[in-house]
Amino acid sequence: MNLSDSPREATLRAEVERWLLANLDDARRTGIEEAIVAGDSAPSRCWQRQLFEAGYAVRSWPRRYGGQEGSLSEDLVLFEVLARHDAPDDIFRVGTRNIGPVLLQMGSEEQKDRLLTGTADGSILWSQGFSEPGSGSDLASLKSRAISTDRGYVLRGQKVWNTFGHMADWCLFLMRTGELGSRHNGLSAFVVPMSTPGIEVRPIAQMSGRSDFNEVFLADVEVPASARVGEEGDGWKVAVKMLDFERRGLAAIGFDCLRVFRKLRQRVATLRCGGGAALMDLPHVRRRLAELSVQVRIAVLNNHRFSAMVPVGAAPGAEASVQKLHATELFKSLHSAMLDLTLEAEATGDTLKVLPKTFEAYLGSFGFTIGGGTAQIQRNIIAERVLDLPR
Amino acid sequence: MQFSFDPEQQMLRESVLAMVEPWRSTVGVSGAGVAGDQLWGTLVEGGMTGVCTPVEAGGSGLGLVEAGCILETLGAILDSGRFLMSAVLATQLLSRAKGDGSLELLARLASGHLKASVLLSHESDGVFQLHDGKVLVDCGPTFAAVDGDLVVMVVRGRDPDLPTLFVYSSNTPHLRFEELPVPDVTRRVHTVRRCALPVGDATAQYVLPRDAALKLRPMAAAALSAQILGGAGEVLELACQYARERTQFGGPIGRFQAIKHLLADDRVMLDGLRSLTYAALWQLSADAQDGVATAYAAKSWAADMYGRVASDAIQVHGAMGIAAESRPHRYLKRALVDRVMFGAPSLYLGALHEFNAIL
Repeated sequence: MNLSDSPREATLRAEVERWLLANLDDARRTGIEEAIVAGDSAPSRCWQRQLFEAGYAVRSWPRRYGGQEGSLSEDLVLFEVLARHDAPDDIFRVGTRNIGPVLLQMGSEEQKDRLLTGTADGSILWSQGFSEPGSGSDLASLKSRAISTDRGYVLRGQKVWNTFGHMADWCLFLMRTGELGSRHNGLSAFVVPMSTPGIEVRPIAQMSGRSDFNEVFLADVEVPASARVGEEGDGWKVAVKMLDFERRGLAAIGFDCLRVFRKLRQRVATLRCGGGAALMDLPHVRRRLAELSVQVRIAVLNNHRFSAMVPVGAAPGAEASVQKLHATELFKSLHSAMLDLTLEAEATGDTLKVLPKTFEAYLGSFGFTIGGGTAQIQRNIIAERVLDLPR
Repeated sequence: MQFSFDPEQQMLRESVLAMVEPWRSTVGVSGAGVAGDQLWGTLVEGGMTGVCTPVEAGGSGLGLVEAGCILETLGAILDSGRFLMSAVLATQLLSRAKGDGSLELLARLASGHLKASVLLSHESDGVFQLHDGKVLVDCGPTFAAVDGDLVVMVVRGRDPDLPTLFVYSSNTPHLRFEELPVPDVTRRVHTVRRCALPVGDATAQYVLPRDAALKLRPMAAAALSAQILGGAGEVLELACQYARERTQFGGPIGRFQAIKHLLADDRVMLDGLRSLTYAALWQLSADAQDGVATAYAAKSWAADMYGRVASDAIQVHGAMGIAAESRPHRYLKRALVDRVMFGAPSLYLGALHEFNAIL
């Protein structure tokens, strides 16, 4: 056991910190964030390109596809430093953390050569086409079909909750190639450019006021056989692997919890209650912050401990659900505290100014305990695969 | 960064587990028997009592992570806490003490013939005050003190930069223990009546480096958290076992999500404690910056989660859970007292609030 940085990690940490101080300021953060809300991915692409050129975009990937063949712990150093410096929301994460790693393991040579470097450098923004109106938690019941033809496949059906689908260049679709009712065995995965004729994307307005998710309609979308990932019928394997990687990717929100906690503490330090007393001096506020800080320490340490269980390149096991469940619930609690305490304080010009974003962030945090397998599905996974309870 | 056990640490874990295996199935059946000398004899024979002892005193010279591996296993069988007090806390303090005879004392502790316990004051650092040539003893409940031979205390002298380690015989005049009537038969808990111990009655005094004195409370907190980790893990496993075996409505009750989700949440809490505890033990051993804060976080987290996991285990056992013959209630009884042992959660949360500025 050794919880300090290795010389390599320490060098990387210092290097990334210097790089961020030189390349990221508040104007940049706001610019990228506002563009994402407006459905414009250009500033994010530019930021991703810079990360890539600095060698930070896909640290643990093979050099051939733009990686540094770094260890997973170097990835963690990166995630941590980015979070501590309040780096902009990473809209490329679906590609770099979920789909890329799956293609590395299961993709054809052609798919890897064509897609991976672009995924890393910001030229390919990915979306994931799993859920359907009738198939959410019960993913294996999905009905959208890929019909085999002599030129490849025709995709027909509807997907929903595609994150960033309205800005994406490519999408990995999970489709039924087998009989209806073939469940897990009759699924196949396809990588498809979003510009293919027959694909229509409609953004979904969320309760937070944002529109990060979409409906995707597939009306006889023709794709070549080379778009299939793995063999016909391998779809479930692809999906499970991706969901495992996604849980891990989402679990990097352990560091986001640290980011939100630091902001929470900073904000509370500036707030006063009606009588003029500092909010920070109230016993219930101090206790709430202290209790949250314990959980934030857990989230950060969990990231390190759970990643040590996984060899490089391998998908994390069911234990990742423990990490995901904890970090996503905490993420909600932190945003909830941010909102509660801002509202509890005396309304001033400053609080009025931050309130809309505070509401938006809290309402937006609900998606984290739903996406990538709901908190309830995570509990099932923990119970059945970690605690060995009967199905 | 490598947050996992080295092969040697893994081997140690396995050998302790094998060592205590005979006691595992009898937790709560033999009651106080678990706390007894037989287990101590096994630990001594296996060289465990010298794990933290410096090599020059004949020990293995290992750190707190290794101690944690043993403490976790002992927590699972609800041991008396003698190992925590004597082989970990007292040994760690004495290892840093400067003065004649400390190595001999350490060697005798490692041999298991002599047993020591450590008292912590009510003050935030757990250190006692010296007044008029007497050590003013004012502290909360403690364990493994009466059946031990020595009581060890860190005392602040006139110069706060020069703390002193005082060693008293546990039956020194003026020191009065009163048994706390708790229902946990696996570990006796005592309160110490407020008293003033003449300096001259001490069997030994050592100068202690200031940083060693500052680690007193965090070390106690982290060590107890390791023991709690073992207990909570074991009682959760008991609940899972029962949920796999007990059938109702034509199948095992563990197939119901009401049961699954309860136990999954407990597992998440337990994993949180595992991360905090071993990080704290490592950081304290390595003098890392976060050690104190992580140890306090561990203790405050452990305080409430142990009771919760044990309560859930009783609930999952249904009516069997409230029967004296079943095991989970033994863990609940331990948890209720461990919650305030070495200080209530409010003490640790209060201190954490100050540390969070650097989080």
